[in-house]
Order: sequence, then C-alpha cells, then structure tokens
Amino acid sequence: MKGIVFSEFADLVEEKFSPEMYDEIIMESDLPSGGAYTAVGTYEHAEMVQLVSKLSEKTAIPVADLLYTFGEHLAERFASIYPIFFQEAGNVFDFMKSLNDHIHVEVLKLYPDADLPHFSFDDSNPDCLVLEYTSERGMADLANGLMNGAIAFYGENISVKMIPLEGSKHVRFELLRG
Amino acid sequence: MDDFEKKIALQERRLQREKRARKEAEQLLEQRSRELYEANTALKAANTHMEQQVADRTMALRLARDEALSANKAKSEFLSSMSHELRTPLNAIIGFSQLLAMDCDDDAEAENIAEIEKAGHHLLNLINEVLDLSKIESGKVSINLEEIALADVLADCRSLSESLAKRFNIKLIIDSSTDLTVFADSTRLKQVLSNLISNAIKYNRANGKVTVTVSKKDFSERVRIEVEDTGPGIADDKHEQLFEAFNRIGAENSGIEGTGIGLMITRQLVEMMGGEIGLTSEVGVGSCFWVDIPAHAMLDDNLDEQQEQQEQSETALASCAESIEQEQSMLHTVLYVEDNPANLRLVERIFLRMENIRLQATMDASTGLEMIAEQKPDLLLLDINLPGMSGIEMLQELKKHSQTADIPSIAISADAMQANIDEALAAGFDHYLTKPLNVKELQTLVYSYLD
Repeated sequence: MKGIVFSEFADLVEEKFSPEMYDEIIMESDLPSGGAYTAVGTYEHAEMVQLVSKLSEKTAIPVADLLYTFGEHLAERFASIYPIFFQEAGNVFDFMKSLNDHIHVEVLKLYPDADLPHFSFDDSNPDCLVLEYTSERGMADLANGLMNGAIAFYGENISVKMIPLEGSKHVRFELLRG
Repeated sequence: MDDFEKKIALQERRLQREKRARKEAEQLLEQRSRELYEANTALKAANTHMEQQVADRTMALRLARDEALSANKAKSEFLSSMSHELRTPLNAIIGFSQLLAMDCDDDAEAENIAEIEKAGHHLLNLINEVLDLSKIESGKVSINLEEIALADVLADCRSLSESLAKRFNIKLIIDSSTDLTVFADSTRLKQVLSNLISNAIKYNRANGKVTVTVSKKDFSERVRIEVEDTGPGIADDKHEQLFEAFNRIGAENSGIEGTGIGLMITRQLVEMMGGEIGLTSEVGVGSCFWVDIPAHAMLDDNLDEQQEQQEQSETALASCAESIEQEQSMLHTVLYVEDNPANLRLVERIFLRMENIRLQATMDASTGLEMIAEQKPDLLLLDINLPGMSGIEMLQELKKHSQTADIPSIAISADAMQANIDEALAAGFDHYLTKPLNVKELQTLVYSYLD
C-alpha cells in the first residue's frame, strides 16, 4: 500500500484525536516499519489493517466508520495534491468513470509497484452510475468515503448506496443523481 | 513531572519515527534519481543512434537517387546508340530485299521477300520511335518554331496517310481548305498529326471513317485540330494511361502493329511546341483526339510588320471595336534583352502561355535601350552578362531619364553568387532571378508587376 495513505492516516489521527492516540496505536501494534511512514514509500497492507483495528478498539468507533471518514479526508487531500485529475473530469460521474482507464493508468506510471483496486461501471442510466469495486484488500468503506469526498468536492447532489456482493471485497455502489 | 516525562518520551518517539521516515524517503529519492539518470542516458544514446540512422538512410537514398539518375541517363544513351547501330544493318536488309524482289520471277518467292521487307519496315518503325523517345528524354530534340500555314501541313498529312487508309478500308476526310496559321515546328506538327491519324485508322471499325477538322475560337490564342474516329472508344479511366510508354490499351492482342510509345512521343512533341493534347471518347461510338497549338508567336522583332498586322486585324474586326479596345488596354508589354538564343527561346515559350502579355525581345543592349525609349514597356527582363554593355549598365542608363527610370526591372542571370545579386539589386533592379529559370516563379513574378 502506498505510503501516502499511511502518512495521511497518521496526520488525521493526530488531528482528530491526539498525537498520544497515534503514538499508542503504533506502540501497541506489531509493525515491520516501526510506524515510520513516508509518503513516497510502500508498506504492507496488513499494517493499515492493524492500525485501523487498534484505533477502533481504543475509540470504540466501528472500523467501517473510521475507514469512511478516512476516505473522505483522503479525497480532500488528493484534490489538493493532484488537482489535475479532478479538473479534467469536471463532474462526479466522469471522474468515477475515468478512474480505471485514466487516473489509475497515470498512477501506475508514477508508481509501477502500486496495487490498485478495480472499478467497473455501468452508465446506461444517465442519472444513476453503477460502480463495482473489486479488491483483495476489502477496503470498500474507504472507497465509499472517497466517493463521498469527491461528491463534496464537486458540490453535486448525489447519494451513494453501497450494496455488498461479497463481503467488503466485492461491492456495488449506486450513485444516484438528484 | 511524570506527565512531563511522558510527553518528552512521546516526542522522542515521534522524532525517531520522523527520522526513520526521512532516511527512507531520502533513500527512495536517491534511487529514483539514479533510475532517472540512467533512463536519460539511455534516451540520449537512443537519440544519437536514431540521428545516425537518419543520416545513414539519407545518404543511402541520395546514393540510390544518383544511381537511378545516372542509370536512366545511361539507358537513354544506350537506346540512342543502339538504335543507330541497328538501323545500319536494317537498311541493308530492306534495301537488298527490294533489289531481290525486282529480280524475282517466282510468285511464291516474291511473296516471301515481301514479308521480309514488311517485317524490316516494321522493325525500322519501332527503332525510330525508340530513338525519338530517347532523344526527347535526353533533351536532344530541337524544335524550330515558325509561323506555318495549316493547309500545307494537312495536305502533307493526307498524302502520308492515304495509302494506310486505303489498306484498312477507312474513309479519310481531311479538310485542308483553311487559311489559319500556327506557330509550330512544321516537321514535328506533321509527325504529331500523322501519328494521330494513323492511330485513328488502325484502331477503327471495319469500313469506318476518320475526320480531321481545324477550328479557332474568336480571340483565342490557339488553334484546335481534331482527329475523330469511329473506333471502339476508350473508357474515361484509361485516358491518362494512353499517354504512358508501352501502354497499348486493348491493342495488346489485337494483331495491330505498334510500339506503344507513339502517343507518349506525340504528347511530348506537342508540349515542346507550347501546345496541349487530349481526347474525348465514347465507348462504342469513337474517340476524338484534339491538339491545341499556339496560333502565333507573341514575340515579333519586326515592328512594322506587327503594326501592319494590328491594323489589318482592326479593320477586319471593326464591328467588335469595343471589345478589341478592352482587350488591348489589358495587353501588357514586357521587354527581354538576352544574347543567348536558347534562353531567349525558352522565355518566349513561357510567355506564349501567359495571357494579355506581349513579349518583345532583342539580343543586343543598345537596341534594347532604343526599344525601351520608344515603347515604354511595362516591365523589363535584363540579362546581366550582355556583350558590350552589361544589364547593370543598361539599367543605370535608363535611370538617368525620367521617362524610363520607373519601369520595373528583373535581372536574369546564371550568376547565383550573393555578391553579384547584391550588386544588381543595389544598382536598382527590383528582382533577381537565377538561371536555370523556374517557369512558375517567373510567371508569378511577372504577373505581380503587371497587375
């Protein structure tokens, strides 16, 4: 998993909770990296799972909610670090549709070792975009947060319905306009 | 105090983590930089390699082109000399078979000898045409343009083609009762027309006919000669191929003798005389080949004769006086001073194709000055290296007189050295053209000064 996800997670925990909270979950987890993350590095996905689980345990907030909030935060950060992708698409539906064929292609050019989730879509209904998320990592809640973050960025009136097809590894999202 | 120590310890751990992260980032950065540097080096090498390849290919192409050019030249020369070599023994074959035929009493033998002679003539025809083509291709054909009466040319064509028409049982109708004249090479024009007539006879239907007509539209600078047949006709998409070498459309297996280069030679000859050739055809009805030849030369050294002609035409066309006036007000005069006859002819030919321009020419600078003072041409074309007085000196002389000082002038010289070009422009020439002349460039330039 790309380092930027970890460094953003660290910033978010320190900001929303406290530096002590972040320090605690680091200390209580068994991390090969020792919890020292740089945005340009790459780390085990298992470390993120441990960190989120530990945070949930400490704060009594469900993992799904934590991931969703983190997703919203990441969307906001991506929009400020990589504004070009958001400007190119111009609206939520086009942005989501450009994920696989454009954005992820460009991400792979920069980070050839990145392991990215797959999104297939069905846009036969102009007012309802259907996306299917597939990833071994089962981070559908994070994806949900990211989508809502993108909707907030564009300021559009779109609701997201999340339908699990196979746990959190294969999930259908229905984005409904209006 | 306990709390404070905890905070210190926390900060200590954060600092350690930050340090570790920084070191890792630096390492990654270092690695990326190295990768970039290597990629850049590889790109540079690929680029150099590509440039080298382009240079190599360019060189190879240049060599191939030079080889093709010299091979083509060698081909023309070979064809030319071979044709000459072949003609000598062939003349003997034909000559001696004629002698044999005279002394022969046996009918069967006489027929055999006639076959030999006929085959010999056919071979001679082929060789002559190949020789013609190679001469044209190597630029060795000279064209002698003069004003000739079409009636004479057509009468000659009739007597040349009559026996062929009789042999093929084709009715040949040539109306030679015309008083039109053309500006052409008499021998070459006859060759062109005879070839078209002979084609029209050979590729006709049984008991067909060939009609040759002449026409000239009012005010047109060209005379049109049409050769019409009643043959099978030629589909539109085949028209252009007709004028290519060794292309005998539909005649390959017809049993009709031919080289397949006749029309190519014909077209080249027509174009050398400043004319144009083409055809209209309807499949199943017949074809009509037309040739447009300039009616007269734009150049006329003899002023009196020219004025006389002008007067004559004015009387003849009195009823259209108004349109003539319009026509003449549009007529521009360009004066060309050039001592090299070949260049003079070339420029004359170029001007034949330009409308509403009369080209006056002289080979001598002092005559040129007189003509300019007298006629006030609209534009001057001056050769620089003239005998006696150079083009630059001529221009300096003209600049001294208010009446001639403002006539635009173009220098034409084989001298392409920048210093000499600068010298001519400094002396007051408006433009400098180098030989060999680019026809289009000259035409565009002349029009730009006259409009």
